[in-house]
Amino acid sequence: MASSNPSTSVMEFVVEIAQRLRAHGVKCGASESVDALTAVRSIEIRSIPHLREVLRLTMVKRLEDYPIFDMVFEELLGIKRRSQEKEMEMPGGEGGQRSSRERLSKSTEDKTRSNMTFYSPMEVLTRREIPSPTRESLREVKRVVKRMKRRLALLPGRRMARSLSGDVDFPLTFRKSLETFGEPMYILRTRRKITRCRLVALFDVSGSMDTYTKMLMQSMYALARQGAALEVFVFSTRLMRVTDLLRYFGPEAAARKISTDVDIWGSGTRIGSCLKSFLDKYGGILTRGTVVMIVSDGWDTGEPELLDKVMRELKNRSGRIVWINPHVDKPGFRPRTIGMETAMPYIDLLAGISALQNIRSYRKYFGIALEPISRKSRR
Amino acid sequence: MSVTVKEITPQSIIKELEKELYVADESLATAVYLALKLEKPLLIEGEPGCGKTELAKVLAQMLNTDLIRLQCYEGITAAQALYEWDYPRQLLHIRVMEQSKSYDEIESEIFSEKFLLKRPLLQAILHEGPRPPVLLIDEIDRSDEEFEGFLLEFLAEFQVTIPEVGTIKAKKKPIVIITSNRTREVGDGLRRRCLYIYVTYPSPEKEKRILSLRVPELPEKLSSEVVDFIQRLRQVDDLSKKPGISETIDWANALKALNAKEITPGVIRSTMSCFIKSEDDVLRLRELGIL
Repeated sequence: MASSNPSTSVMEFVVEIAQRLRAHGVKCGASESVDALTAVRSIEIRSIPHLREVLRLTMVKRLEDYPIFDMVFEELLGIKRRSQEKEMEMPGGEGGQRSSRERLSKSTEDKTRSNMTFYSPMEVLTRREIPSPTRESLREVKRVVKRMKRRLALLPGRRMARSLSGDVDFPLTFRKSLETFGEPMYILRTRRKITRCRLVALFDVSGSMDTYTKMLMQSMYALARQGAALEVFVFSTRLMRVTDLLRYFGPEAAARKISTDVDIWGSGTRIGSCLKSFLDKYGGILTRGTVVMIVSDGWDTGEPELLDKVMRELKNRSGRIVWINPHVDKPGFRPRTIGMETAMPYIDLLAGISALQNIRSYRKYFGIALEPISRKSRR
Repeated sequence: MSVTVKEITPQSIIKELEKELYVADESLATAVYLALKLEKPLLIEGEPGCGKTELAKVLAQMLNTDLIRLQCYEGITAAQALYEWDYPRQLLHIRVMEQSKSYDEIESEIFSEKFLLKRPLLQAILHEGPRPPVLLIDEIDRSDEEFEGFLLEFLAEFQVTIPEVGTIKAKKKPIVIITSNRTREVGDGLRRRCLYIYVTYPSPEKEKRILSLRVPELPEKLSSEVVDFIQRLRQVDDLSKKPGISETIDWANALKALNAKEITPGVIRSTMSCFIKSEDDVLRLRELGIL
């Protein structure tokens, strides 16, 4: 906004915001920028907060992206945050680009610590070195994921599809009868379509699970890359959604980020309260066709009553709960930790971590180990 | 757009909505203003009972136009949203006409407007009036992804194709308000076509203002007690259903009807059905000593 012509400076500003939003993984296309510009021009902007509101209305389309937008907006306008830098140069110029990016990464980090629903892609972006998966392994993954999806899609949904058996569909039958001059020669039937299943994975990343974090990230990454209907969360003392982090920056960076952020995770796992915040914040993604996979050793420092309560709710709201415990693979395992004992009644399947070790075993794990989900087996 | 829309500013929207007993803050008014100006649908997300649906209703009143409401539900299909042929009547008609008329005559007759059941979306397209209607697509998150995909097309073109009749295009683009309670994530495609705003519970001041508009007979002292209590309830972590503005209004009305002078534990117990909607929550609040 150093430019003298106000309209070009507004345009540059909007474009810069859009680019930074995109860099942070917010879906903000050209049409959003156009809207933002039109909006700014058709309304009398009275103050900076007002400008922020107008731009946010047009450029951000989900609540989760609000903090990212606020951060980008504040960075661009040089509004001081808790970060300590003094330089406040305006963006847009060639020289300003790099330092403002550095600034962005710093303050993003700050924000990550203060706000759990938020992650920092910028920091990872600057030193990202992920080997891309080989073509062959991708093909294999694709096959397995495809099969897995099919295996998981077993619940009759609400939508209807033509079928030979099922209920008579009068509108369809009548329409068809027009071909035969109004005589209903063919009785057409519809039945409920099978719905697609989602997989929600919740990983315990506390100290006792540290060694597994990276491997778990790897296996989830393989799935996420294939666009599987998958959500990934990590938890320890608190819960964090990492689906996007994983999807965009890969397992190595994600695992590094998660395991190095010690002050986020601290020590002691509170499974109950983490699952509860999952239900509160993200419960909407659960349907009766969702498979919830919890990976934890069950060392819980929270209250068992809470865990019991949330496990019951989780059970009621999802299709199937799979608990993966690394100790199951060890001979003579008994679910003796308090967390495990509390959760056992609600778990449909308890498995060892070997089930996740390589992508090939997914087939075995999800294909054979799981019985088809049916309403009967839930009871 | 009608004349009234042209004259509107965000400030006038706040005033006009207030005349319809709706308290809007500036960001919501700006959202409505931009939706009207840019002729884009407005996607409103937020907690239940925060006035999302109400906004569409008062907006229609404010613009002095019709409100067409499409309530979404699990399993809603395009036919239920758009149009359906009145099959039983068509069948009956065919039987009656069979003897006297030719096939072509029958066909052109049974596929006439007389036998067309217009559902909300088609109504919005066909709307005849000086001003475009307000189309409220309520609780989109309850519908299936397929239906959402179908809506994308509709919202992009504002036209409907009926094979037997042809393509009908809206003369005036309806003003579209879409609401979602976030029980399911609404897809990116739909989001991209809309302006987006998230509404949350009101501040105590705003809520008092709402009560003074909606339940004007309620004494001010009582009304601020009501608001304080409800605001306190919303702070309680694990309520399964937090009270929205509509609950506050219900409760205030109940208190008015009972001629209550102040909020005592006894009054709360006898009227709590207005704002607590589950047994678990009652137990939880008892535990905390609020009830």
